[in-house]
Amino acid sequence: MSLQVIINGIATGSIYALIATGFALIFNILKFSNFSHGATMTAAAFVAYFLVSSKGMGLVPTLAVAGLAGALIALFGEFVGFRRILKNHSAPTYFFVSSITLGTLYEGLVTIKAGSNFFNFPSFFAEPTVGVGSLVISTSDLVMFAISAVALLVLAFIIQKTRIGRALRAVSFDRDTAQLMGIDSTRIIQVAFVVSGILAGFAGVFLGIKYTLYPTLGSLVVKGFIASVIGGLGSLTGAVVGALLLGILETILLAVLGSGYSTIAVFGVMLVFLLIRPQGIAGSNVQEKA
Amino acid sequence: MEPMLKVKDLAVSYGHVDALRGIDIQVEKGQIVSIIGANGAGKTTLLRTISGLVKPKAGAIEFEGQPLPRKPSKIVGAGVVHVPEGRKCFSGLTIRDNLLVGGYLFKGADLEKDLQDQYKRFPILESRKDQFAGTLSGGEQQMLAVARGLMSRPKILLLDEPSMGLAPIIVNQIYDLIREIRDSGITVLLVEQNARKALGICDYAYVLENGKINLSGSGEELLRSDAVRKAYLGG
Repeated sequence: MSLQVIINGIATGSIYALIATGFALIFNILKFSNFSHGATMTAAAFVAYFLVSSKGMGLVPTLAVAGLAGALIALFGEFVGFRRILKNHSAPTYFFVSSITLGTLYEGLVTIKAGSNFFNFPSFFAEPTVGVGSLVISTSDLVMFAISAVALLVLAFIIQKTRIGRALRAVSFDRDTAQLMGIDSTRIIQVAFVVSGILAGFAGVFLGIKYTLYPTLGSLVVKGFIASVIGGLGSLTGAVVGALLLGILETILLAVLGSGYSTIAVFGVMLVFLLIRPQGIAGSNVQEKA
Repeated sequence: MEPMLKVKDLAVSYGHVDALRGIDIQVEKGQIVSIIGANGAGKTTLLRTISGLVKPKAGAIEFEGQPLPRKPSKIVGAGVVHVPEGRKCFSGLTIRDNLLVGGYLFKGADLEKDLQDQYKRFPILESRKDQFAGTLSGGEQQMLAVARGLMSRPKILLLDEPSMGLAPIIVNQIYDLIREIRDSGITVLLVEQNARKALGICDYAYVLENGKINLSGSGEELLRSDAVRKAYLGG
């Protein structure tokens, strides 16, 4: 049973990893927490639900539409909510207000369209479970894990090895200096929002598959925030590690304590972790601005 | 002959504070031109305005007879490359990635050739290419910053206080490098607090005081001028 729990934990953790990296990507480049990320997930998942999966199309078109919707919503947010504030060098509070406002707006729009109902994605898989030896793994967990892993590997490759990835890292370190190399930082920030939006779309669909789809689904983004803080804000690798740890911890506590106390226990463990290591796992990677 | 870079009646202000007023500067192709001045005189602001990071309140900047574009990324593309004060290496990127970011506007074989050229010029950078730039010493970081600037294929290189915080022997190396860069056909606009060094190397110099050009002349003229000797060379 313990290996089973850990496998479930990794599956949950891989969804958290999608959230955490999408969130950390924006934190990295703008040095602020994008609190509209959760509502972006919800909105993108709902768009995909109404346009695609409710019409009987499968998981791949659903993810494609959710990713696209997430990217467009994130681009809209960047343009409306953040660009002017950034150009003005305004205080972080403005980003806070702006991102919360955007999030509330998206959530409100979803509620108008969907009511406060719960929606179920149709079951995308013929076989609900796969047996591996003595282990029983839910097919959707397995598929979600595989897709998340591939998405994160592709992201890691882009960031580490490509021209646009180098530019992204350079802008994240120092926007002004990056511009002195001929990098159009506004364009690169847009790229970061697009990628973050795609990840949000995927995460929204996966959360919807796992828990059902409802207008306040985005509040689960908290798990992503926590994961990226545990990982060390600003480090994408840290965010993934933090997310997997969080997923595993959650499923273990759920198995041991039951659903009521496990939620409290998870947050308790996180607080203790941050007391002991406030800089997170990969904390040394975070550069304080002098 | 038309000067390569021409700054005409430039004014910059931060809010209500005037940082630069009525700045006129000309840089001839193939020369080293220095701007000296005390802390806070506006030297860095002038370079940041030329490279597009700061928007001017008034005035014009011409490069090769054309108005300089306004966007920093376009300005680099035109061949005006700024190596900022304090080096500003991307400390969490490897040395190789720092150089490749410098060559952002170039691709493929061109980029690779430029990279190898810089490795040839700075063997220390090649031997440590996979280390983070943050592990380099101050002098090495200055080399990296210059090499990264050269990766952008400048026609004119704007250098902001390349000697800042470096030991005298390293400063001499950096100045040899600046001469070498000029001899390779790249024009240099050098901003310095180290007046003796800057005046010693340059073909022409401007003295910036409280946001205005107060004096200009050849390096030798200024080294002999009483005003400059009193204010910048310690009598």
